Amino acid sequence: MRGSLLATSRQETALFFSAGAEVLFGILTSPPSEARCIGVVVAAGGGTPLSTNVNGLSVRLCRDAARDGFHAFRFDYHGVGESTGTLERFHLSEPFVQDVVGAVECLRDQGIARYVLIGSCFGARTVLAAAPQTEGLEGVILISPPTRDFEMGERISTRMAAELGMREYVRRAMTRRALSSLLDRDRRRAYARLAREKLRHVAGAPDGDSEDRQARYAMSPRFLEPLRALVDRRLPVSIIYGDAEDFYADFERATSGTLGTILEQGGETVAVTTIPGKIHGFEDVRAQEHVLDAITESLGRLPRTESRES
Amino acid sequence: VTATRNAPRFPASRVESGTRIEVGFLGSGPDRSFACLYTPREAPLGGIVICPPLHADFSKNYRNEVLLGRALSRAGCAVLRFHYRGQGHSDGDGSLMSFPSLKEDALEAADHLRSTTGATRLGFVGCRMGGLVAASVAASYEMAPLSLWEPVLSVEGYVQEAIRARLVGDLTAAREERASSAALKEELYRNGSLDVHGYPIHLDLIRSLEGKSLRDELGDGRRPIMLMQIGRSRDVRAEYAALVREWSSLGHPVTVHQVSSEVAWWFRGALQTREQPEALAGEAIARTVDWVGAQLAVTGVSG
Repeated sequence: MRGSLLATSRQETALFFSAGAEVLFGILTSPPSEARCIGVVVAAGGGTPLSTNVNGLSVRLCRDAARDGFHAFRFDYHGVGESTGTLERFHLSEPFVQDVVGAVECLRDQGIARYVLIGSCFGARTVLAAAPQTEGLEGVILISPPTRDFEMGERISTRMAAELGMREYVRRAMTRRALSSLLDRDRRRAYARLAREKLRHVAGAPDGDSEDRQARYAMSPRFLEPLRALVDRRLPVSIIYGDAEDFYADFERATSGTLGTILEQGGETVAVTTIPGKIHGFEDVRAQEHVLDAITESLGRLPRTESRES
Repeated sequence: VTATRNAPRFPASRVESGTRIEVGFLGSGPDRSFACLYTPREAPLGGIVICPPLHADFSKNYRNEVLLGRALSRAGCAVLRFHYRGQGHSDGDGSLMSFPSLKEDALEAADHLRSTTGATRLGFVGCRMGGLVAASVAASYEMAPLSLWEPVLSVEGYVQEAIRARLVGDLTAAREERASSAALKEELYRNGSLDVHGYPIHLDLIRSLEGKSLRDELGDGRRPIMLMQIGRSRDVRAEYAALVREWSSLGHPVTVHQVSSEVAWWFRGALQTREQPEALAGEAIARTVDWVGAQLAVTGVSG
């Protein structure tokens, strides 16, 4: 049920908090009317890792959630925005769990003991990794979570390496367009990257079951295991994808394996929602609105009960 | 120089290398601006207001501005960074942003900086469209140094860049519905906004910027200017060279710095290499800090 009052900066408190050796920055939005005493922690993706997110999406999300009675907290990762530290890279096998743990602790210090974790892309994998160790967790919302492990910028090359055969690579490389674009330095680099990735994929073929290879080209245990842990605890998990994005295709493909079994075990506690088109990266305003609506709906599905940990 | 003790302070603060860093919201009206204030341990040499760019540029330059704020404060300046109403953490509807509202926010930031730190001499830094705002506000402060990072020279050029970025985005995303440049411009005028990579460009803002130029906004007062060109070109671009000539002829002491790097302003993340390598941030920041420090060290007139 929505409160009628909109949240603004008047309901917001800027905070500095510790996460490991760094001091991170965050903003807590408190509900302008009746509070549910649940804190929503929002973790951004790697493309625009700022706590504001693309076009202020996380600001709107927090103020919407506060209107609905939640305390909402957006924060800058270490090395990003107002936080201290240096950012080396965004690799999905190295989510910034310590930052989320720090954000949750910060909310705990504010007297909030129950949490929902929300993240998109890299942020989705980060909150998923942090979720099993979060006490007082009430649910997790994952927006366009990648199911494989790769570094930011390797999404397309790893997908192509996994999906296309060597013959198809050669055929594509021999087209007139591909050959003529070899004159362009950036294009040459991009093609070299694709070729290197394919060679890496092929070279790893004999021991094709190694965990790293599986994680890079098929399904990451770092996605499956925390999801399984949440399902075992019967915690609500909401997964939101755009139906036209490759992360959803990866996810769909993986449901024929272990992922499918976990989803089955989860039953109604795991909700997979698709939105028409692409939402990854929030690259259009309409997609942003759809995502906000889907999150509001997911938050609205949370049972209005006392802490499930008690 | 003494800080005005009665001026409201921000609630969240921390200390880094002797600088007090405070964050909070500015303004007494219904919509407030997010701001970050840096106060050095000693009495400040002067105060610097950093005017951010708009749309995707805002996110792209965010960290550079944070690092610039810290570096300037280490060099003895009080600094205020802020978000325009309708953008970032600030209140307000993005569709209501206009050149007057951007200026109001920058002026409020300058007032807050002066009242909280006691800094009497102010300077301004503006990146991209923030350059136009910085120039316009600097005009109210006699001899205020003005540092411009890759400034946008006209709103027409800005819209053209935005449209080009949208076209490239549509092409690389292999979208089936690909509009022409003319059709996108028509969409902006018909719908009142144009979506460029998730950032709406509102027609009212564009209209409010029409006819504005760095030359005119700066007014007649003489002031030191630093123009920083960021790009691969070895030469100063023709439009910047013309502007520098014009400013020089008007008596402004102008310094041009070139930082050799490439920044895809309208595009966001997801590239193989970081779009803004530390070297770019480091060089741009170091040159700005040196230049600002040199200007403030010269005895100037208070605004």
